[in-house]
Amino acid sequence: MNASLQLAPRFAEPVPLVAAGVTKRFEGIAVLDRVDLRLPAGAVLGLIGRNGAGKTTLIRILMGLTLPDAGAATVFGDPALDMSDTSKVRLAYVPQQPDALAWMRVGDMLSFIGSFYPNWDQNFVRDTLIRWDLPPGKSLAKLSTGERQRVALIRALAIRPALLVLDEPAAALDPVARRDLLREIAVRAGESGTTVLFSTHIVSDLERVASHVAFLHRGKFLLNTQMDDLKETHTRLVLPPAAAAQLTGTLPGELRRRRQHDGSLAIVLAREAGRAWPAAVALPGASLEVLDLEDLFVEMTA
Amino acid sequence: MPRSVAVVCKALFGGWGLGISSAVIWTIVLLTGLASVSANYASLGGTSTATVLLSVMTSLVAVMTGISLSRFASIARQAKLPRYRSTLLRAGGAAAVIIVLAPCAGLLGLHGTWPQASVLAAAASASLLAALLLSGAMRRRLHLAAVLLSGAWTPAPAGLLAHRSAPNHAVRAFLGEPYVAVSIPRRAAQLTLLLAIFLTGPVLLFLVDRHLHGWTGVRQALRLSWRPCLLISCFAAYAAFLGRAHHLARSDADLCELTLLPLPGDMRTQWRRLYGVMAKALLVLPVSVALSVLLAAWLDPAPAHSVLTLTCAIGYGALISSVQLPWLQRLWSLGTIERRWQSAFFSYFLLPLSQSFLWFTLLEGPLSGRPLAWARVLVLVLVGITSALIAGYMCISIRRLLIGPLAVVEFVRR
Repeated sequence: MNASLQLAPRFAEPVPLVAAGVTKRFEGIAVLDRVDLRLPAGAVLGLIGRNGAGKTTLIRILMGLTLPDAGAATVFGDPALDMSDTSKVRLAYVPQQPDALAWMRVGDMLSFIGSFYPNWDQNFVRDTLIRWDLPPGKSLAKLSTGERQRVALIRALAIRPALLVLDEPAAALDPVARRDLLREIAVRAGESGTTVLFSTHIVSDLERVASHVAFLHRGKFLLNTQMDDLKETHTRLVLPPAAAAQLTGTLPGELRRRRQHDGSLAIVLAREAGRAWPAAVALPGASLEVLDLEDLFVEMTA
Repeated sequence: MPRSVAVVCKALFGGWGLGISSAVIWTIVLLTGLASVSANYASLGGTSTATVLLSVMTSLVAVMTGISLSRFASIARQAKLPRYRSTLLRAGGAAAVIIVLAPCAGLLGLHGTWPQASVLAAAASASLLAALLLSGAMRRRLHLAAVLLSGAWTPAPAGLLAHRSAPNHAVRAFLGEPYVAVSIPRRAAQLTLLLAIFLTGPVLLFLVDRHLHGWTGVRQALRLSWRPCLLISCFAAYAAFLGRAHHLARSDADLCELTLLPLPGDMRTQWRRLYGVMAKALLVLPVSVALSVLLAAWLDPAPAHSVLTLTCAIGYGALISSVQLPWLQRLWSLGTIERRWQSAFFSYFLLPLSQSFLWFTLLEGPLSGRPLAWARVLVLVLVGITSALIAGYMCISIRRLLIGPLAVVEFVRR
């Protein structure tokens, strides 16, 4: 299944981020396979996937940093490969390894970058540097990976972006800094309507701030849904061996099927909100289990 | 056994950016230099001069080999290469033979004394050790030359969008510290500092050997060594530019940042700026060397002597150009399909070409009459061929850039 992510727009066009039929192959292997994504203004999308799922490649294509083999991406209506200045001013991107301008001092780099952005928030920079204990006079090359990631986040947030794209932003952060970042994302999304796309391995981060979640697995979206609907629309049906034997074909809304060691069958089911589960849930011995985000991720990608 | 030799060669020469097979050519460079000194031994003023020239030459090779060894050690450690300690030991032994023992044997063969051979060995060992220590300590930072060039960047006065009016300046900042615009007096001061550092070696050598020549030897040392030391200084300063170019890649964080920066102009314009800034910086030294040497050849009142020295200088100029090409090729390949054979071809072509200049110095005695005229014609022809090849290669690359995929966008090389 290659579920496309079609999230309902909250605000008027242009849509901040769109990918249509994006395909990318490396050495003949499809890293992304006809991926569609439409991220409306104000949404906070958590992109989750295993290592090598294609998260970074998708984000780089969305940012116009990698040429797709097929399909196209747009940012605020501009082609990602040829963004206008107007779009770039509203966009902030934090890569997985923010090593840019490492030869500069923290303060110099931020003031240099700030000179390109009309909405640069110098007060935010000053306050956050103090709050996160980052010395402005220290060379970026001498900072630890986590510190450098924090500087990159300050740089991204200080431009007051309308679209914030973060590639595993919390990977190198300590718990305090991670919580600060998540709070900042929640505040920006809530108060300024900033659209956020962030990839992560840490499911708890997603649960804290994301309004939408997408599972990327082997170059395809396995799941796209709003966080609030997740528990209502997804479940795990466990059928004992006897009941499993009566089952023929796939069930409506079936996403994954796994036979367990005792012969029973675990099936991940999805339904639209308000719809009933398939009749198989009434088979003798069948039980429905509530899935949290992490369970669902493991079920669908293991 | 051949595999083990290949690994040792990789350790010694892999960091030079030219591949293992180039080690053979570089060895020829060293041997030719030795032969050149040997042939001109009498006219150069005896064993003390030979000691200085050989020391300068072997020190340069020792520094490059030390950096290469250090990089190899780092990679081998990180990659947990099996038996990397024994490989490193073998590479160290090979380095000692090439850098210390062979030149000393050569000097002794030129009727040098044991103290002079000791001085040569000490200079080569100290250079190797210094390169190992410095490259080890600064692996995550820039080259020594880049450090000497540091402090170039000073933030512009606060003012909204101050840099938008100077996009080339922004591109320079993203290319790294060596590329940041610096005034000509400051560049001259940095070069002078480097030259002073490199001149210290030969002067110290003569001071050590002063029981043979007395204090007048210092003046002689300066007179003899300022030219090669100037070339080495230029190359050291140049290494910072080359080093950055070598590590430039589309996945580079600086280039990503630059791509998404609201800089005036479309991506193609940015790409042209990037290319222009970088190519200009990378071509300044070879072109300057070629022009100044040509000028000196025609203006020097003592033509016979000047041909001898300028052939050496042009030889090293061509050598630098050939070393630079693989780095330039990295930049060009950002927008084109990578073809390794091109850089290899030019390296292999230009290195022997540079040697033809050096072999030219093997002519005994001063040149006059017809040989001198032929020498001048030959120099002009060879410099012309070299320049035409480099210019042609650049034109082909620029054409490919213009028809290639968009700027600073990663794409699969097929």
